[in-house]
Amino acid sequence: MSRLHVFAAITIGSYETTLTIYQVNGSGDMMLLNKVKEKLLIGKDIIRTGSISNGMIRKLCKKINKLKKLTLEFGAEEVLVYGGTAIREAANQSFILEQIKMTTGYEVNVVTDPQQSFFVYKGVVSNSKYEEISKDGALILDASPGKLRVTIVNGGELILTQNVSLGTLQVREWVQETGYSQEEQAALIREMISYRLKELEDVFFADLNLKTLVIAGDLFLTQASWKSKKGDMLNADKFIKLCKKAQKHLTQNMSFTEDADILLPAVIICEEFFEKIGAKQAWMSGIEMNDGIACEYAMDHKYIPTIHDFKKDIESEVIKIMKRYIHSAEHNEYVEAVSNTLFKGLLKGANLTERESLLLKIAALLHNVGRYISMEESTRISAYIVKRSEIVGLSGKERKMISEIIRCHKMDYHKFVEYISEEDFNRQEKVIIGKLTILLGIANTLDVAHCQKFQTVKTQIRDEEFRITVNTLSDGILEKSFIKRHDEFFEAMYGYKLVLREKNQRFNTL
Amino acid sequence: MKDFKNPDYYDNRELSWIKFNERCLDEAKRTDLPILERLNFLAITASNLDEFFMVRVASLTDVDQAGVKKRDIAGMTAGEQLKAISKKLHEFMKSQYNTLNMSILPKLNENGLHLIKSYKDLTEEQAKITTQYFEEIIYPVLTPMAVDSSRPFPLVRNKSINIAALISSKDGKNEAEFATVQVPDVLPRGFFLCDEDGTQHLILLEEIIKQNMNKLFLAHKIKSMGVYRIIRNADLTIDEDDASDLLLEIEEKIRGRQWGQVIHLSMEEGMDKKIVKYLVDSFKVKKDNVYYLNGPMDLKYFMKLHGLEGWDEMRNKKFKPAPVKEFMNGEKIFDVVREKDVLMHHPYQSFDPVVEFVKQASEDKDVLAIKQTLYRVSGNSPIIAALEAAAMAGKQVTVLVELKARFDEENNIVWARKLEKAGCHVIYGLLGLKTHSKITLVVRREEEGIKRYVHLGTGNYNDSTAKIYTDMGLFTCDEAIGSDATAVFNMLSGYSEPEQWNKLLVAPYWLKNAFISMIDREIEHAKAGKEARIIAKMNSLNHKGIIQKLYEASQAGVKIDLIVRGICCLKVGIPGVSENITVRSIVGEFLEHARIFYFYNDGEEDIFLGSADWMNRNLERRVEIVFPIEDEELKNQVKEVLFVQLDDTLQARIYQADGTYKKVDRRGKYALNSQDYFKKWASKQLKEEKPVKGDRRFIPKNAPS
Repeated sequence: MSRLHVFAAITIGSYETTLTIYQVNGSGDMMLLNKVKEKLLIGKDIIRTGSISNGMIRKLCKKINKLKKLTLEFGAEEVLVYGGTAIREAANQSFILEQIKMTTGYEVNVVTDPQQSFFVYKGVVSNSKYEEISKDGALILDASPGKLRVTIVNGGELILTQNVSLGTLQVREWVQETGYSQEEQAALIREMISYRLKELEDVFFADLNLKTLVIAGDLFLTQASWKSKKGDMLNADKFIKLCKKAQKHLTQNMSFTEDADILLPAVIICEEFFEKIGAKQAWMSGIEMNDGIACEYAMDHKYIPTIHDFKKDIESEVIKIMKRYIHSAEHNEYVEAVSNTLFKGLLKGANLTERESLLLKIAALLHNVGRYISMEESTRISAYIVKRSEIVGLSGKERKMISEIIRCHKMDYHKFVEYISEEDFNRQEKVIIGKLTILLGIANTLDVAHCQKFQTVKTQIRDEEFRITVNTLSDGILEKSFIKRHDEFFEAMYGYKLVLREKNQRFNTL
Repeated sequence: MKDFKNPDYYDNRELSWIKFNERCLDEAKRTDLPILERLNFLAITASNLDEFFMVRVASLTDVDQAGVKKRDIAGMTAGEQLKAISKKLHEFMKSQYNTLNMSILPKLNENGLHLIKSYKDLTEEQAKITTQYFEEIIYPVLTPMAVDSSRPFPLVRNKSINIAALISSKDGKNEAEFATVQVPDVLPRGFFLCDEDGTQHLILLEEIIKQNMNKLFLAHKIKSMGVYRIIRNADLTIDEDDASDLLLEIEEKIRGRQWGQVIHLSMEEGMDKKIVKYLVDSFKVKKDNVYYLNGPMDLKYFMKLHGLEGWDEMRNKKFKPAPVKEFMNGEKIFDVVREKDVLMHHPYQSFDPVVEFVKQASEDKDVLAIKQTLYRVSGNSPIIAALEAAAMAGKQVTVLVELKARFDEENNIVWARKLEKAGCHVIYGLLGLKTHSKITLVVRREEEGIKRYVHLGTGNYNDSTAKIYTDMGLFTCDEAIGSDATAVFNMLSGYSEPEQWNKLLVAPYWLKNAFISMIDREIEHAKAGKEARIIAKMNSLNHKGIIQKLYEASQAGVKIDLIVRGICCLKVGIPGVSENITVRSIVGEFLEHARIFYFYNDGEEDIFLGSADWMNRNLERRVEIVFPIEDEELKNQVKEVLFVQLDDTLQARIYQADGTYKKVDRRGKYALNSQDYFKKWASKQLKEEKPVKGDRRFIPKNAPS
């Protein structure tokens, strides 16, 4: 019996809360057992007041408890609860989370926009159609009530994720404020969307050739004439006809079709995107965040085999961010490789995980992107850029940690301690930041001259020492003198003395 | 194309219903049936009629009084319908009492059961006994009420039997007063007096009261008296939108049902004209709604005689449902159903496996959840007991108890409270919709995954009616149906609708379109010169859209055979409209209740069972489930039901182009009572191996013209 796993995902969205329950059997087959949605417009409160009202929180908790009952009906062993845009943007977030915890017993994970996109992306990747569509380029469009999320894949690789503050709930609120007639609203929405889309097009996908538009989220698939199309691949003609038909229906029946004012912007967004990217087909996937959450959970727990290297997707996007700022990336790639060597050398006994290796990698690749703006304050600006960049698949906390690693990597131990103690991290997080910061610092120092002098870097732990042995054809005086600055910091973090040994290959010796 | 909307192409729903009740009355007239069976049919017609008055006549009266002139599909206004109904029902009730007096009572008498119609017919000895019974038992519970200027006319309860009297003071000085006394419903209505030779004499309570009426008005003289009964409007109009607690709202309305507008007044023949006038004026009943009866009021009482101990030779041999072969070897129901779907045909096959299914689920440690819809439940229901036990054992139990099930509202409130107390999650039904579907879902954790076991039926989860209603039920653990079943309960629990249904056809939003598409598909096949056939069995047919589509199909050459027990608004044999349609109605020992739909589909043969009739209420205002039968062996089993019923020559009546129903012309045909056939089939299937697939006796053929 233990080989059967039943788990559930609950996503608290701006417009509705969705529960999905899955099972994975002993053969690794994953199956959806139940999916329900509870409509509750918490996003409306956010748009109007910036917080979620007490009454709304009460309703939300009630609904979550109702969903909890359904998870019991299938004996779910784990329930993963995620909060989306509305919870994330709520000024009273902490209090909402506490209320939910007290009333339902659930701890809510609040996700960032890029995380949400990544979950949707994971859901898409886990579908059998992914391989086919990703080859010829596809844009995954999640026109959700809270945010508009765009993810681009091409040649089987993740190219970009971008989030735009153009949630359909928001559009509805704006349109309502204008007081326009129902007939005029469609034109107004189209104008508003076209303008925002132009910005995206110029910056992100002007030169891309994308064959498929992937419609994610199933809110507007529930609209009567679209419902039966879920899972279908429609050609351009059929898709545009479907959009036009839906728009006509929604505009005419705005006052008596439930959710018409949310659905209309969503349909227009889909049509605009389809035309702008010149797609040849639309896949009405209906895939939602919960699908990705489940896929991640099942893979992390090894219930199902790894279907895709999602870490690679994150790395690939980080490299793209790096290339946006850095013309020649040899130094960054070198620092990344060296920091990885140091990390691996310390992995045993250092209480670090693969996830932290990823954080270090990202920090190494982006540690100097601020030079694009100012040579003088490059570290501070790099940290700022990272903090403000949308990096797919990372939580807000992780992004902040990377930012701090970059900010501190040139600090000495005392300055670091002084700085980090003021920051909003728990003890464990501070330790991780410290451990990764010093590794980035050392790796960067080993290429302080930006000419990658040391051809090989090896590590060894012996007699309470962490020995870094480098081979070089040139003189490494600069690096050797700079590295001393890290001794105290390193020892404080790992308990070893830092020793740099050079195997000089300038001379042939025997 | 012809305009199929022409009102001449449709029969009026109410008049068609009266025809159904006439077919029931025909059974009461059959001299070849045992006498208590005939009396039972007569009682059934009376019971049917009560409901018809309380609901149908009442709602038409409301419409008429509101001045609405809207016409029904047959082109009649409410007023016109009421007139036509009154005319038909006067004839009908006359026929009921003729049957009772001329045919049934003499036959009962021959068999040693004598009904004393009037207290005046009591012998001296008998009168002594009844007087004693009156004084000791009846008198204390009576409340005689005189009416005068200080004592207004009392509220007379719905369906109660009463005695009206004109009384005057013994000295004759004052004018005659009106008085009334309700025959108490807390006492048994029948009183038996036994002769030494064993003959039983039955006198009804109201006659004993009449015999002793002078004891109720001691200072008065009884000038005249007679029995009367009223029926009130009992059609509940529940304001669901404003009802904060549906349960309380319904309770309130049920209380009000006792005091609805009087829409029917029946009186014994020969009642004093003054009393008649008094009653008619007091109840404000129209002349059309007054009925004079040549015999006892409320004939449905005679159903009780059918159940009396002894008298076995006067009724059909008691039928015992056969066990279901698949469940006979003592295996758990889950283990059997995991191997293959099981189809049951009740009452020929026992309903016990359904009860057992819920019971086993309540005791099984691997069962996580049980969900069920309940519409009409028996008293002391074993299913309710099993659900309670399951909830107490910590299972997740969700039960939809439809509080709006007409005339079962009170029962259902009791069940709902009981289940809630046991810890079940009880849903009272959906706003504005009645949940009529019959579905049970059991979620079980098994080694290879979560498994959903589903029972879907055409009849209620009622172990009592399952013994007299013909219904079919399917056990399956088909994944797609299981997933749909979860979606049904999601919907009933107020969650979002499913994105799409896998196999189930669900009303109100999807079912009608599914039927229309399947009829359209037959039309296409017929137009393409292929064989096209529809056979549908149901209780009633009045959905205009479906009827129009059937007319269209008939014109396209689709062969359509309908087995409709009750109301049928479709007309057969209209040139250029419905020549290809036959309709038959089967009225027999058991109440035909299964809904079966067969579409030839170019040889694919799509077969569905379900809870829905082709009626407006089922397709538009109810939650109904129609489910496919996919296993070839089971499909053959269902086809056999249809084709045997189409071959029935004894209980079937064929709908004629002139709107009447006629018995099958048996010339050249063998005698076949389909219900008897299935009784034998049920016991035979226990002994025999099933024939090899495709080698069945019953092959689709044209229905008899």
